Amino acid sequence: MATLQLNDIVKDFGGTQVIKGVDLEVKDREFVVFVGPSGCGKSTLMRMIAGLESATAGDIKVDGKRINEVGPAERGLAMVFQSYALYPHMTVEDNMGFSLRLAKVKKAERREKVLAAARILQLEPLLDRKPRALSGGQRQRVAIGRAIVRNPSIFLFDEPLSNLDAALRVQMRIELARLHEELDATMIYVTHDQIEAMTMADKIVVLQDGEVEQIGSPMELYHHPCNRFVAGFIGSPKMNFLDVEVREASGEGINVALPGGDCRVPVMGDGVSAGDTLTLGIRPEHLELDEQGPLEGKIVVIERLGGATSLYLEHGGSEWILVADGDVALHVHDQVRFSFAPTCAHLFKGDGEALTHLHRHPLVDIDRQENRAKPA
Amino acid sequence: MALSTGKPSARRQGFELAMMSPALFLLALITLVPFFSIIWMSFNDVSLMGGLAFEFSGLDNWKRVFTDPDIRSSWLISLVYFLATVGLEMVIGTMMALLVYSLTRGSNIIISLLLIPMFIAPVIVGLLGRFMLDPSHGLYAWMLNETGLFDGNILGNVGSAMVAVILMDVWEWTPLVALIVLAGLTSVPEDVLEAAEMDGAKYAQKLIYIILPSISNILLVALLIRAMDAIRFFAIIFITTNGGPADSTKIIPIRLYDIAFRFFDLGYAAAVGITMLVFSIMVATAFTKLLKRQEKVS
Repeated sequence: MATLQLNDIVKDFGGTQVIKGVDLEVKDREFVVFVGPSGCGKSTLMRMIAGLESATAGDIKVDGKRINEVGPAERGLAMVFQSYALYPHMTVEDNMGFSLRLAKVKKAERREKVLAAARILQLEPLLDRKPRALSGGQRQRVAIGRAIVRNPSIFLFDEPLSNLDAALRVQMRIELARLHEELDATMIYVTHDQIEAMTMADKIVVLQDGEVEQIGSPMELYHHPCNRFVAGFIGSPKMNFLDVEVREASGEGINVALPGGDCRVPVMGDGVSAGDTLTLGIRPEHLELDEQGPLEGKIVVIERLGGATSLYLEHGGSEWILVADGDVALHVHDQVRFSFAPTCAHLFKGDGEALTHLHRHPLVDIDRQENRAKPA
Repeated sequence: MALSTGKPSARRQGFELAMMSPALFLLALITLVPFFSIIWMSFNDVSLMGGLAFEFSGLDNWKRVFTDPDIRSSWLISLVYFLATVGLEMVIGTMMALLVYSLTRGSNIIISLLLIPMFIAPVIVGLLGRFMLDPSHGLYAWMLNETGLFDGNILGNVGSAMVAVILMDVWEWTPLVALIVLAGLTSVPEDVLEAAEMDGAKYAQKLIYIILPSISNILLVALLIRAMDAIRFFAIIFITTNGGPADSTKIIPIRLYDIAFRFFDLGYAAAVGITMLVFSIMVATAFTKLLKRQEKVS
């Protein structure tokens, strides 16, 4: 039960700024995911919240109280490390109960708390084992169990699933979401995997080069990315981009020139005038094969996934991706025409900033909390 | 194909033996012959006067080995010397390693400086010690005298001589322990220490619960290396006190030297030497067992 605030956090490593003024507000019981490419500062930011790294400037507040000068153990947070960081010579039970042992909690009480956590994570049969005798998934669960035992106000997860194989990762992802529901705790999660971010987060913080690019719900980031970086980073396969010329800007949107005719994208056109060059962005899943479509391309590669097929197209000198049905009967080197719904298209200015859509997507404000079953 | 991988046929084995025989012969000449002759020597009175002469004496030498009070006291002194030097070296060496490891800069220079004593021959360490502790012009002797901590001949007094030779060995070999432990410390994963920190562990608790258990294997190796050396301690004591005063620093190798090369009682010396050999084999076996058990645990 806790809120977290970051006010203008800066981190300097010997002259280079790796975090350049981050502001963030995490609500009670929220699941917040920091996502971004390697080296964007997301782990550093988390380590500063944990107290393993000091902030060069700015305030870190838990429940409104500044904790910059408080030691990592006294912050009341628990962290799950990427490498699990289990104590190798201790049994699972001792690993989980170590913090209690240091806090001089009596043995019986300690065992009770460890057992309670072990029950949540189905670790009971493994309590006497050493970490070395556990599989990757089990080790991860022990690391989470160690965090649960401490009953922290905020859980911190530093890329906890990246050392697991793909199938286990999906399973643990579901388990973590379930855990969040069960513990009803505030959780902060670092990952470079946008699928993990999309599926688990109430709120996603997209970072790049130590700066926040956008903060919002997964649906907001997907439907209304505020710049080209976020648009390209969120969503898989990646968004397609094409430089287009503006024909006309009006209150109903911007008309842009496409090879097969003009198209009106419903975005606010403030400051945009005819003749400007903008970047059009369309997600692969929003492109449709269409005999009368305004765009044309030659198939370079076909990836069949069964349920869907990714077509890699050569289009105007750049490569586009189109997600089509699983059973399209097309071949490499085929020439295809395709179209898109203008409401799904995005326009970006030269500096990468997105033009605001006239209509907001209806699911944008839904967060994962609302996705959950209402209490009966 | 049996010829290439499986058990070689008897004929082939014979051929292999034939090919190896020159090497085996040489090996036998330089190890087995002395080994068996020393065993034979321990059952004889061996005299060098007027030519080498063996006179069979049965178990006389062996009876002496187990009843001679001098031998017993030498073993005891050896034990004290071993426990004190190796104990101090392990404790101080580990502390030194922890200190160096905690340095953020300059650790390379510090390590180089720390290692200097190791590169000095034990004989030189003994000579230096004797020079520094000389009652008429030694620096340490003068310092101890001026501060009133000790006056008199340090190497000429029963208690102080022992302390002096122990400290000389500690001075020389602590850096080796520090170096080995330092190598072990770099293998303690950083994030495990951070996890312990998040769990509320202070430095001492991290040391006891995380660091020391993680490097226990390395500590054991360091102990093994020093223990093996300890059995053949010789040079420093030989140079400084030569076992004196009043036999108070006469550890077993020095005693053996006396018996063999001062009294020329070679048969008896052979028996004492064999007991030392048996003892070192026992120590080595105990250590390898411990190491194996450690490997199983970690």
